[in-house]
Amino acid sequence: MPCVGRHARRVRIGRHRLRPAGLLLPLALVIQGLAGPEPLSGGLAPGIESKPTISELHLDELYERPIGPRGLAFSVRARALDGRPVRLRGFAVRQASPIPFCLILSPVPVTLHEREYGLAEDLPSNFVHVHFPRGPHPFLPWSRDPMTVDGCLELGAREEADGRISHVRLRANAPWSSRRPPSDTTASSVPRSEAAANPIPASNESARPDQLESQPALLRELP
Amino acid sequence: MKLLQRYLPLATLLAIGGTAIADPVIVRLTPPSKLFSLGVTNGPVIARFLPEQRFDLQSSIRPDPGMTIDSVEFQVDEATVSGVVTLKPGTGGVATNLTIGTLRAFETSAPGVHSFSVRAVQSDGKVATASGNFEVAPIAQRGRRARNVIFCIGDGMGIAHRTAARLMKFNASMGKANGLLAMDQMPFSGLVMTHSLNSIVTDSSPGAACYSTGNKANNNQHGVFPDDTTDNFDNPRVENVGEYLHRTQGKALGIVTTSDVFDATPAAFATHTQSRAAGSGICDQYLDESGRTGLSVLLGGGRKWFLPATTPGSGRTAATDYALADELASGWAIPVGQVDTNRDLIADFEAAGWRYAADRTSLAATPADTRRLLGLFSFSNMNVAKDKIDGRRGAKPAGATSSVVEDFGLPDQPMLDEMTDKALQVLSRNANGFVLMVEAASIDKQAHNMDTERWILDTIEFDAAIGRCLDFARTNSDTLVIVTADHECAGVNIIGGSRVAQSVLTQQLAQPSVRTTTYTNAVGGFLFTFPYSHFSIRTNVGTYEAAGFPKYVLGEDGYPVTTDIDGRMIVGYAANADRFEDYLTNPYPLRDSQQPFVTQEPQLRHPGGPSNRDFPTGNFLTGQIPDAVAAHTASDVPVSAQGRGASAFTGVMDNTDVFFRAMQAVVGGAQ
Repeated sequence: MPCVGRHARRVRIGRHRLRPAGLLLPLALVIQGLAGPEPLSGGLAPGIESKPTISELHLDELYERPIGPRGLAFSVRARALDGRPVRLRGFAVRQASPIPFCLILSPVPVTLHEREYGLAEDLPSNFVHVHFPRGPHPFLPWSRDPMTVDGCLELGAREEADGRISHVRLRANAPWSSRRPPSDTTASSVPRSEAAANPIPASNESARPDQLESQPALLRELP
Repeated sequence: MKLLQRYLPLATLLAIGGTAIADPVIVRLTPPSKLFSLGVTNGPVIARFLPEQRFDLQSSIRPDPGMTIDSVEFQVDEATVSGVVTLKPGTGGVATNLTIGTLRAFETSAPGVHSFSVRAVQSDGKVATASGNFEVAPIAQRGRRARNVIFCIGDGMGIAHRTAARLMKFNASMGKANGLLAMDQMPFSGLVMTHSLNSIVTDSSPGAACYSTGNKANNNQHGVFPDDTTDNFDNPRVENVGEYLHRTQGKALGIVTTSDVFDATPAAFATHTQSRAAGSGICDQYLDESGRTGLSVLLGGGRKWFLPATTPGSGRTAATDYALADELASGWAIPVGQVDTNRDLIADFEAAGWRYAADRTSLAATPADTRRLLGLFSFSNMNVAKDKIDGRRGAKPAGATSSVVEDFGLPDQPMLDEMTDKALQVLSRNANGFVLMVEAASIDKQAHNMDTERWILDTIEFDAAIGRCLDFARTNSDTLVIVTADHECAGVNIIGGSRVAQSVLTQQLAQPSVRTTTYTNAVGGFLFTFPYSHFSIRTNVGTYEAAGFPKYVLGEDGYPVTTDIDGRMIVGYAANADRFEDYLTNPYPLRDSQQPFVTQEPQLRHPGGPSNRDFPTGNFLTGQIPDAVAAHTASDVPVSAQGRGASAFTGVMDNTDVFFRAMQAVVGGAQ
């Protein structure tokens, strides 16, 4: 479904500036630094630019509160923003078995142990599946910090690749790029051959920038 | 090893003799036996049943290339078993070459070890046979029968979980505990060995199924024996305790849990599947087969499985749903089920005469004459005791504007003891008695996360529920209450107490990082550098006499006013994943990115596992397993019992023994 209005192209992880000693932050900078141009406003003729009109939407605003005795009910505001550009803020759920090109955004920090519990989980009901366009790297680096994601809001039930039903999705634009991210002194000290010799199942654990470049098909879990 | 396993059945045929060596080959004979799989007759018989407890007979046969299996016949004690043997192909990998013969719902009443064999005839007339055995446990008729039996399962609760809960609730001084938990005061206790059919370390599916069926199962499977198909719901079944006692005595079944109701432990008491993850089908089976199980109370989380897929919040999917083959449905006289993602299961429960409660308030308002009760208090797992209690107290994490249960949108969730009370009220209306399973699920889930205070408070919550059961047993003397666990989780132990006051610990954690260390991950082999506090937090851990006697103070609600006390109890984990540890209570479940210091620079990434907490306070604890979270262990777990037949629960026993000792009291009686 095409997004009506602006489709922002920004993913912001955390609230910190780049620190050379860090492993995650260079990548966060990469994601921000490689963000695309500011989007066009919805309803404007092509080529006409204006200030962004993206709407901030709190995850707690997705459904009517308090939750009733049966299912959830989309809020009036969420329904009004269906198909429109929104900005969400939450925590990327830490998953043992994430979906490629997708993360789950939660209002509170959550770790999911799919192997242990399947879909018996401690995930609040107002989670959002954030889908990124397919690119060379299927898993967004995981961060403990809150994440701000811009994209197109999509409401309605859909079965995701991991068997969960998503009722709210965000179609985010690509955080990926073919540009090589700035190297990190620690990361660059790791022999590539060593990394290649230690295959680990994919997860949405953070990945070093050099891994993004050297292993385009599949990110590897880091220690 | 794989070759050995592959050819063991053939080797067994050679070893035990008495049968012709032939192609085709019998590759599986169910019920499982050491005689078939290992070719030995010594040691315990693997499959045991009650007199007239029903189970399926099944065998997988590999025919010669180009041949088919025309017939399969089962014999028990050298007599052909009557009934229809259905043939179907195996599915999944090499199993596609197999033919599977199944005879449903066999039963026998004669106690003792029975020989069991299969004879398969190939299209060219060749014959394959194989032998195994099973046992029907003797039930002595003596004394009065237990009318009600209550299984209280603290998921993952080992000895140390109990000790920690006792120390936090009652404290100890001058060498003696100042008080005892309800479960401590039960008169008979023993130890339970928890291995599953395919591992020394079980998961919750077979860990609970051994109590509900008396039989071993593979990990991730309950109420069934393993087979050679990919269908989650076609495995050979074993009649579970609810079904058996409802059929033979008219008893009702109740299931109460703090987890999602489809989770392994609750599901093991009323459903049959090789996949504990098949939530839609499991929850459908609760209702569809309630006529066989006698299910009358179902309380817990997991509302998502009961909502039509089109309703926001639903988790129903076709992949997790079920539909049975006619041979299975007719063999067990149960509905075939249907893949129906848009089923409104709550409405179907209500149409079948169930009362539905969505929160604590509506649960409390359940009329006294209610005979069937469904309570779904969250969309998946319920919030844990600490967060529910904090919500009731109006306590919020530092800097937060709402409590955790408010964040989840479900601020009015009942405690486990409140759910247990209501379950007892409803079940006790059944004139023929009942079976009740009460599970404290998040003792395990929070131990996996190595979230110490959360699993301790869940153990305290569990003990309150046990107290309700014991109160009931005191006024209903023909009630047997059994308290145990399905397995131990995380290798928990109490390693000491904090040497420093809370204020000192907090000051230490606030110190800036001053040096770095290099970390090598055991799995990935990667190196990276991170700074850590100049003050090593682990030097605060007081061992031996330095541990002293931590002094927690209880609130009026029976839970500690705070778990962050001076000289706090310190817990360690043997089956630990990598983590950082600051020994402070985590304000949020699982992880808290809003803890103090978390946002201080430098922000660094850290190793996998629950090390997402408490970083960069500097106390990095290297895990001993490659998993992201702590794991179950093979340690024995305690069992305690009170009431009719309780004296049988002493000594060291297999987990399946718990089922048979309980059934001795219910079926045969006890002095």
